[in-house]
Amino acid sequence: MKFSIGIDDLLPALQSVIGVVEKRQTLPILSNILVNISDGNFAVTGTDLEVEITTIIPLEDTSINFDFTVPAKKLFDICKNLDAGILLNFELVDNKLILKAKKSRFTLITLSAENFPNLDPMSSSSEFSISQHDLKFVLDATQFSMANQDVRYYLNGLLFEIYNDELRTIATDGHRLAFSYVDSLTNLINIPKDTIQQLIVPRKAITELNRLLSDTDEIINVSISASHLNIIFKHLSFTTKLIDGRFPDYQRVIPATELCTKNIIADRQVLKQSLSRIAVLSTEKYKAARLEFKENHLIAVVHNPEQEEAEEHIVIDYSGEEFTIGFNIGYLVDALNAVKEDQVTLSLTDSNSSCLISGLNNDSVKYVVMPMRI
Amino acid sequence: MQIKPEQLRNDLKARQYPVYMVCGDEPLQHREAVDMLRKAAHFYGYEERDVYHADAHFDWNNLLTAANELSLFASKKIIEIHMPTGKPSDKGVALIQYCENLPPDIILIIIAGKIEAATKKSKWYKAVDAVAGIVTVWSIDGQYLNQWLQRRLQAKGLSLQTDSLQLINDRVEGNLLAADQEIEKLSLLYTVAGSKQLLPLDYEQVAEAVFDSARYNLFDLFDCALSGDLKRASRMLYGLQREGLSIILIMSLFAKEVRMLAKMSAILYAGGQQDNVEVAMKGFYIFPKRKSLLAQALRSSRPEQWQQLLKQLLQADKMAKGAEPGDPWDMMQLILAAVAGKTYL
Repeated sequence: MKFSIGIDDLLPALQSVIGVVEKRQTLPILSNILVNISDGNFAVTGTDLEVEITTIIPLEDTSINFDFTVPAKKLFDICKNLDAGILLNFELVDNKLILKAKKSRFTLITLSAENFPNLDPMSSSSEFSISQHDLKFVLDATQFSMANQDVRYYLNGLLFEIYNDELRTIATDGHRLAFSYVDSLTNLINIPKDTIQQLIVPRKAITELNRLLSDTDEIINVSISASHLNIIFKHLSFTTKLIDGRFPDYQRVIPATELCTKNIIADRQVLKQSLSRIAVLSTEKYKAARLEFKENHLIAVVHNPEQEEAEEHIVIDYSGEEFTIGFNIGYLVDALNAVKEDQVTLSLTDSNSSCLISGLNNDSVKYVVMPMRI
Repeated sequence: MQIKPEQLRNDLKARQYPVYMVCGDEPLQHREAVDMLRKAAHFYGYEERDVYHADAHFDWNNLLTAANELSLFASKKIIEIHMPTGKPSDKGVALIQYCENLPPDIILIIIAGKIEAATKKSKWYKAVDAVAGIVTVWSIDGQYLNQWLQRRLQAKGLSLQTDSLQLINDRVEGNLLAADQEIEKLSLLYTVAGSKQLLPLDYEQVAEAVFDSARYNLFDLFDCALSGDLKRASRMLYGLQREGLSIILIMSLFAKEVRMLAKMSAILYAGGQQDNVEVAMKGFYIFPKRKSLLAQALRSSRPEQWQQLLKQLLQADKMAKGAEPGDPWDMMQLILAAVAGKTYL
């Protein structure tokens, strides 16, 4: 059993799947990747039983057929340190994989491919196509607001909402919420008209998916079943289980701009940098900042238990009554980082209700941040 | 403000404190009190629940953040802090700050282990005490356990005679979790659905259903035998054997006690002042609670009897180590009987 493959083909393939392979494992075989060679295709699969990624490299020789699993991290680290452009020879002898490249030689232990846990093949119910760029846009705009290891398990993921040709993503940890949408879905199959379809994609799947996406116009195919989501790239297939739960009614918590009594327009960079500076003096767990809004003028103040203090004066566009409100400064900076416009609007009502942040004249991304008592 | 566990239900109907603390190390009542608090909070519309485990590495700033950060989805929430050590790692700075500046719309439940007397003098405890409802649970035994059992059984629609109550009491010996299970079992076995009347159960029905789930304390065994209650002592020995306790441990404890009694008895008779037990016991460290029990034993025994017991213990020891034929547990039964004064003494 012998074959060879160029390192320049193999390394990117390994890079795509290595992320899902967890460092600590319950099953030894989960730290391995599955290599399957058949019909002239070299396929590498990694899984953590939740997310599965397979990449395919076409081979010239179509006569070889065999499969095995090999420690993912070791194979990846070896390949990473080999010179570019060289040819890697694989040979399978008695459950051992012998790798030869120029003057290097490695022998790795393999496990039988039969025991590798593939996700069940899914029977997709609906499908659509989207460009990589658009999917990356909605993920980048929202993913940082996902909860992490929250007891409300349905918050530890990103909500995908499909409505006609719109894909909306929503993430929240209960204190802040991010919303974003694109309306460029094509090739809709089995997506009922004027009906909202919701699915919650787990946190880890979102991180991995975002790593795979690039800022190109390449079209990818997304198919959805009751329990899985599958995305087909050119040479790669990404499958994840979905979180079975009910996401809270997010529309209820996004305030309508018309109803907000206090509307502020600010320069995003200036505001972000000022807040980042004063955040230095907040503590890791307690990031409260006091914001005093005055006419065309904002004073932001941070105190910490060591009695240190930071204060910033920021020029804004505001002409209403003066008021003071507390915020977790980390949430504000996250939102300002994710907005892409130069000017941002902040819409508020009072010091106990949420603040809506979005780019000026652009509602494709919205952030809602709850205030803190100060 | 202290609230007795059995009064918590009515207290919650009457008023709500912004902070509750449940402490003590009797698991059943502790669990029931916490469950009741959660249920009540839920009833009053506290929908979200933050749970923190305050171990040595816990950052108490989490509490203040949780208290001051408003939620998008629910306006009222419960914060639970599990503090099994009964001592906050930051000396209670965060708790004091919290209690002095109570956030509206939040119920804080501190789930503590046993709070020591010294801790009750600490600043944080006083700050909590000033605003909180504090539920302290104690273990229940003896006569109080009978009353407790009676109440719980009645709530389940069962009525038991005193001898049956005592049977359950004997079998569970202060293990309330087990008592609760027994009551649950009796109610499942015998109650008729829909019946409003109390169902009387006789001794046989109870004995059939109740399992021997007492957890015995090794150190009680000797004193129990010494007090002359051979029946209970035998049951304890059997219970300890079933729990897999090593007989060597039991024997060494007995040897230590018998040796001490032998010495005291020798002093008592050598001095010729048979009545002056106090003098004989002088110089031995005896836990005050046990003094009258030991004095009683000394008055009604002679030194030779203790010497004889030591010989029997030696024999049991040899049996346990295979140096002599015989079952050391049987030998131990004989020794128990001897200590209890039913045979040799």
